[in-house]
Amino acid sequence: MTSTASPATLSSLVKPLFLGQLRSEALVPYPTMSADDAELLAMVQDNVAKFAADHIDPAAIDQAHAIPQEVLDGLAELGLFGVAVPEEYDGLGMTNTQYVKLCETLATLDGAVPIMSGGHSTIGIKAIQLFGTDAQKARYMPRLASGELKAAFALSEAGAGSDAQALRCTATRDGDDWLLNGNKLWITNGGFADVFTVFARTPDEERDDGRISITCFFVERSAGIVSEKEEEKLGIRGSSTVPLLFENVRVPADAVIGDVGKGFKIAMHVLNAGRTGLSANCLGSSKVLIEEMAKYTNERQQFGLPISKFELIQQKLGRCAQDVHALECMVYLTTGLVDRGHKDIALEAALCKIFGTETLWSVVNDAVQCAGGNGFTTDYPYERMLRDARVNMIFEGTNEILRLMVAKTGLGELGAALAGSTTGDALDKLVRGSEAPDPIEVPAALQRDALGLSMGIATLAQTSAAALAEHGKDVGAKQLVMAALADQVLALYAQMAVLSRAKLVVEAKGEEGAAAELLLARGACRRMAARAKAAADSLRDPDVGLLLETAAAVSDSERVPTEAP
Amino acid sequence: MKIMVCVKRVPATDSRIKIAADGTSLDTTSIEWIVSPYDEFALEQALQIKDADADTEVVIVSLAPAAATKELRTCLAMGADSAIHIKDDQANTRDAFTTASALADAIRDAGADLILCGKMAVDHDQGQVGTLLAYKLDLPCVTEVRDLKIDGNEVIAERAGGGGTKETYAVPLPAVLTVTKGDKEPRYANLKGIMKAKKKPIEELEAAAGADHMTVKVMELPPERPAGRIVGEGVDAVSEVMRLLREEAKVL
Ligand SMILES: Cc1cc2nc3c(=O)[nH]c(=O)nc-3n(C[C@H](O)[C@H](O)[C@H](O)COP(=O)(O)OP(=O)(O)OC[C@H]3O[C@@H](n4cnc5c(N)ncnc54)[C@H](O)[C@@H]3O)c2cc1C
Repeated sequence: MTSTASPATLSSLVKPLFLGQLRSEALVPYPTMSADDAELLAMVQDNVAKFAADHIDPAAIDQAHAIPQEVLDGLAELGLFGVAVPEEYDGLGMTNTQYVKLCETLATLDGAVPIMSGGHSTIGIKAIQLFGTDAQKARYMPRLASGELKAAFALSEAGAGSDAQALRCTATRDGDDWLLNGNKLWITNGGFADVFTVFARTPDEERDDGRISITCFFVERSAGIVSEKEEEKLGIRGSSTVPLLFENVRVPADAVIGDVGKGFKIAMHVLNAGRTGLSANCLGSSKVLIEEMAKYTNERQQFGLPISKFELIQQKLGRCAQDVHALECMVYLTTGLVDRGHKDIALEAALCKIFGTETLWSVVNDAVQCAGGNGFTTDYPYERMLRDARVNMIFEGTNEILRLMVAKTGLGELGAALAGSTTGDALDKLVRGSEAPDPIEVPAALQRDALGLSMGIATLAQTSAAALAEHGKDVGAKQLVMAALADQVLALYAQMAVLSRAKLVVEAKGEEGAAAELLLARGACRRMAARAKAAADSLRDPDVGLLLETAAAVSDSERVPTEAP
Repeated sequence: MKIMVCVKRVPATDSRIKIAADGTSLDTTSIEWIVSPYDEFALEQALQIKDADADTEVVIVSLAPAAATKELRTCLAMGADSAIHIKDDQANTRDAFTTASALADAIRDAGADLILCGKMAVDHDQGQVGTLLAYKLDLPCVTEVRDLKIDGNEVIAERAGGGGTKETYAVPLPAVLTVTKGDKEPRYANLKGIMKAKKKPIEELEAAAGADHMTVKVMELPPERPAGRIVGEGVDAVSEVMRLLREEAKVL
């Protein structure tokens, strides 16, 4: 292995995996909340749950296609809109872990409310909170905290979804002011929000080097933003999603957040930092579903037995619980890193988002299956939860785009490290096989799994180097390769999180006291190790050519390209 | 005017109750704790008096394990001014007499014009502490009060009497009232309240090392309810249902 500068203590845990390195020291101890933080969180959770029991009816919200105004007002009164706002601006100043745990709680209460809340706290107010001037913050943050002002985040457009940089909304100077023109699409909270974080092209600022200039604005609805008709959606129907229309919307110079021309970075920063919130929504929904599944399959009798006595049902209960355990460990490792001061968590958060959204999708699918015909009817919550779950894999960065982002960043890291090598044959050496990093220290019961993790990391480094060696700079276009690397990393990060937490629990309670944790930890590690291996093996799949050729034929003929026998 | 509200930390009403291995207490490992709902009714009464007269001081007093401060903070977040935490890790299994003695000692030291309790804690459902507290403090007591107001040196307390009657008492202060559900819905602790609660004082007292007067010998879960039965559908089933209600359930 080449000598690279030793990573700063607070740098990414995931990026070094591509180089075959395991940063054990940053993994322990598994982060936990202080007693005071936990108490404050519990008070807020209790209140929100109590409020929900009295006022939030998920089926009614789904049918009405809206969260009732009384519920929005009540949540504002409770203080939900200010939980992520710093104390100096009259917010609760929650830590990242507290905030994300609250996201989890919200998702156990309803499908639309956590999306609405996230639209405000995770993305709507983040640009001004992180990049606004003191004057901008003093003007808006207290009213954002009280819920007097509700926020939305407006990036996407008809022609700019995954490729957000292709956005066409413009902002042009008019004296000291700016004039905004164009359309936005899919804007969460757009139907009722009072203020919008808007990203627009600032063409006047573009220079000859061809770089696109995008600027972030904080715009009040009263400046002239028009929201159009609510989208009719598959799920999260109670959440407002609308197109926005800007026609010569005049905003003052101090509506600019950060520097002119630096807006795209702000957008990516906000999205990168916020993805743990969405993954916690998925965690909360998954836990509710597993509880429902467990109760239902205990009560439902067929062939004279509760169906939970049948192995094919047990398989579903077991694997759902293992995945959800891994997800939980991962999400709160990531938020704990943020609270410890780690800034570089874009990859970790993206992995949480991919894993969370896909875990929920498979859990809800299993839950519907376990409930049989009832699972398919509106008398039970499963069908609604299934519809609500689907969007998670699409928004806040599609899972495809996030997989590509993870792999691209990781390979970039590997490429940079190898470029610094003096020997030149470093890549070759890596391709021939990388040495497994020292396993992390874990209790005896988990040693086999710690070894498995190290082997998996070596395989990732080897397959990453092989991908670079084979495809060079074009590797980004080899999306199946990229996705296979991202899936390995996902499974490895999950194992790291599971082992780290299990170690903490065993140290606190002893192996006997931690029996429940160990059972889940071992199961989850094995499942994730198998997943990493399957992803690595897919890189040697000889049938990829057939697959891609078939896809090309479908694209050409726009049908299944069969011929009648 | 100083109002003391006695509150108890109890398992959340939707907790899945399990008996501990000793067979005499609850297994508390995975229990969520809340303020007993009747105590919240009592607190709401006190807070409404405070809303109307800002000179009112509302003090929470609770016998609770040392680590159990969330419920006290919740009361402070709802609007109480301060709290007295009598620390006792066995608080949840203390008998009513010992609990009342501990509360009485703290209240006697702190002084109070009005003492409110919930009519019972929803863990053991005994409803003894309020009356025992009045006895210990040598004060008059009205139980199961639905509504109350202060009138000069008296508290006017309304309760349901037998046979659907409404009784209204005038009781000289200081007095002890136990409160039941009335028309005043307990408020939610909002964010501002939670923020303020972080800075409100909680006085900590050590519980006097008094032994319980009683011990629980056995605690058992209720027998499992037999599964429901469908005896038929629509009007055809009516006569069968009537027969079962008469002969099996014997409720008609
Ligand atoms: C309910 C809802 C709420 C939303 N809320 C907001 C909001 O508040 N603010 C906001 O700005 N946006 C919001 N969005 C927009 C959301 O972020 C976009 O829908 C998302 O980024 C995907 O863009 P798109 O819909 O244009 O799909 P496309 O980009 O057209 O993608 C279509 C498919 O192609 C795939 N794909 C695209 N490019 C590539 C590639 N290079 N390689 C491989 N696959 C690729 C995608 O993964 C996807 O599967 C919301 C969307 C929905 C549905």
